[in-house]
Amino acid sequence: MVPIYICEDQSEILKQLEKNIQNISMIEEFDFNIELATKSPDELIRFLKEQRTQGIYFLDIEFPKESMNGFELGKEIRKLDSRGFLIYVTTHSELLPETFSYQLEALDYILKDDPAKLNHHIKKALLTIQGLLDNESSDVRELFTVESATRILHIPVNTIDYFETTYKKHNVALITSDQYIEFHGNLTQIEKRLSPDFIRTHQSFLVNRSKIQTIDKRHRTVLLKNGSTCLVSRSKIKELKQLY
Amino acid sequence: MAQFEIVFLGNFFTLMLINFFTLFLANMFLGQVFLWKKHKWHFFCNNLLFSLLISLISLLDLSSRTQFGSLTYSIILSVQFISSYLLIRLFYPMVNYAQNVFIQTISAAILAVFEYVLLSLFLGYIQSLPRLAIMFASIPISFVQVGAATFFCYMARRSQVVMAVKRILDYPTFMLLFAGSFFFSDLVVYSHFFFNNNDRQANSWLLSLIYLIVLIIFGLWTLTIDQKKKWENTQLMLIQQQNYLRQMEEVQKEIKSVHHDYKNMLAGIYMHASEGNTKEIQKFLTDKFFQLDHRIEEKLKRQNQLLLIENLEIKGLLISKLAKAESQGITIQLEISDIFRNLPMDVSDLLRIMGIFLDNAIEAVAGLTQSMQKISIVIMQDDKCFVIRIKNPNEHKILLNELMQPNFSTKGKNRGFGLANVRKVLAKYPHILNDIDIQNDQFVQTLTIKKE
Repeated sequence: MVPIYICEDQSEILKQLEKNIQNISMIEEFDFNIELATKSPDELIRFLKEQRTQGIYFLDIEFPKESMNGFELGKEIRKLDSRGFLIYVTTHSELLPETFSYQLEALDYILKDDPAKLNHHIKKALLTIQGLLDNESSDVRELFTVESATRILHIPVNTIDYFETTYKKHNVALITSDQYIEFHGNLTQIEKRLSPDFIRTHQSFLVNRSKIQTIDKRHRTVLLKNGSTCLVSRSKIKELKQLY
Repeated sequence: MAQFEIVFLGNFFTLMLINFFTLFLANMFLGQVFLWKKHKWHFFCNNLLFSLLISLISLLDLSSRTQFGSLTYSIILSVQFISSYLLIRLFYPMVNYAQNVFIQTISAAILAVFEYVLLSLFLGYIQSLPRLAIMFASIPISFVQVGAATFFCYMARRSQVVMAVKRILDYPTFMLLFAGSFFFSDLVVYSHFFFNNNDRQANSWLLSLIYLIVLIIFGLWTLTIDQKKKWENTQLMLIQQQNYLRQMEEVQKEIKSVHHDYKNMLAGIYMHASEGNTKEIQKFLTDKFFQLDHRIEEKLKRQNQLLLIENLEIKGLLISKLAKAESQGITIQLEISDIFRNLPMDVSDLLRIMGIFLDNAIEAVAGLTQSMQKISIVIMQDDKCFVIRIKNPNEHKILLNELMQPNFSTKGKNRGFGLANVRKVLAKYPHILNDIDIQNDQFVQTLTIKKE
């Protein structure tokens, strides 16, 4: 049973949301249950402090009478429930979708000023959550955690192509087929953590062994399966040639 | 006497020529041609002044048969401008013309030294060892000065006292004070060296006087440029305010028309309600009411977002890029969640990087269908850092490994320098992280700037 929390300061909308969510959960036979529907962000936080499980949150953005706005509330919730699903219920003018999805990993938005589609949106969001939950339970991949200044990323190790030192001091980059992420760190420490799946081919490169396609001995490079090339140092070339 | 004239004129013209040449080279390599365009007359006068000054000194030396005073003068001058340049870089990172003054002065000073070496060779000027020794003694002293200045700058960078002083003194005052302190220290050095020789003492005082005059001219000069910059800023602000006013007027017009429509619509709703037709009322509300508001909201939102950016240059860049995108029919979604003040980096660098990112985004969506032409710009911050994210659909299916290659560009040959430039600029900022994400067919550039 996944708990659903609703926080919205207009009582009509709060009631409406509660009713709709309950109906949809029943019809679609979701394993969700509305645990709390409140007008006060503080009450939600107090409630969450007592029980920590992964939850689903429907939140308003503006709380004119409260000390906290929806964004801050989201941050607080993230501290207590890092894997929960945040869905914002808001008006068009308050909406900053990119900001919210980047900083809070907010899942979806439901527009108050588009009431005709309210039901449809709630259903869509809940279906997405159900899908994610199903995936999560079957997914036991090893994750590599990258901590940058604003957020923490969990990247499945088997998607990482390689790490390289960047053009900046004390920074390394993690490269997957579709992401280039810079962070503070050094290759030696990462190598220790990820060996033996990764091989240090060069002073500035740490390559995922399973991604290596061929070795180019003449140019002293490694060709990866997705087409990237990494440098190989003189001392490592023989060792690599024997392996691949 | 004829010889003097030839030397003077020869010096003057070669200096002018070589100066312009070095300036040209500097402009070419440093990519600051726009400054050349903007401050043409300043450059010209600067050149003239320096060439004239140095030629005059050489003439003075020739006629009074001294040489080392001018040599040390040139060296100190050059060294001084290196240090003042360092100071400017540390204290006033956005002052671009200072860099140019620096380049100019350095080239002039180096050339002057060259000239003197040549003159000494041809005319056999260095006559005695003590003179040579004095000449060289001034070099380490200059280095000590620079060292002290750099050390001071480094130590003072974060101190509260300097921040307070910085707030009180504006750039020209600071420049003048700094130059003045150097002038005094040099005076001490000079008088110490020349103390026992009346001729030389007089000569050194004369040199110092010229030095002071030059510095005052420089001070006044920077003051005028500073005022010009202020003037340009005011102009920029004016344009922005006009723009804002125009937008607000449009919003007002729209509100008026909406207000008018509201009554009609309410009448319509009343009719439906009197017939008990709730379905129709609902349809009416969603179709008309909420739609009407969206248009105004969109405009107001955009304006409110831009108001949050306090930095004029960044605001100007955003406004111009927004206008450019809109003229091509591209929708730009702007999200700024907090007041955006100065960043812990050069504004000029940030402008360059954002300019490249935005241009890339605009070019990437230019050929796409209307519904795909969407760019979102997000500027946000928390207590630890600023984040700038620029997102556009990745229809060209750019692959990350191609992007990592130097000279890569989707725009054809010899054009893939934007991102390489970004790299080059970012190399000096270890506290700025640049992530690229091409998941879900979206191309996202993220710049994370840590607050210090």
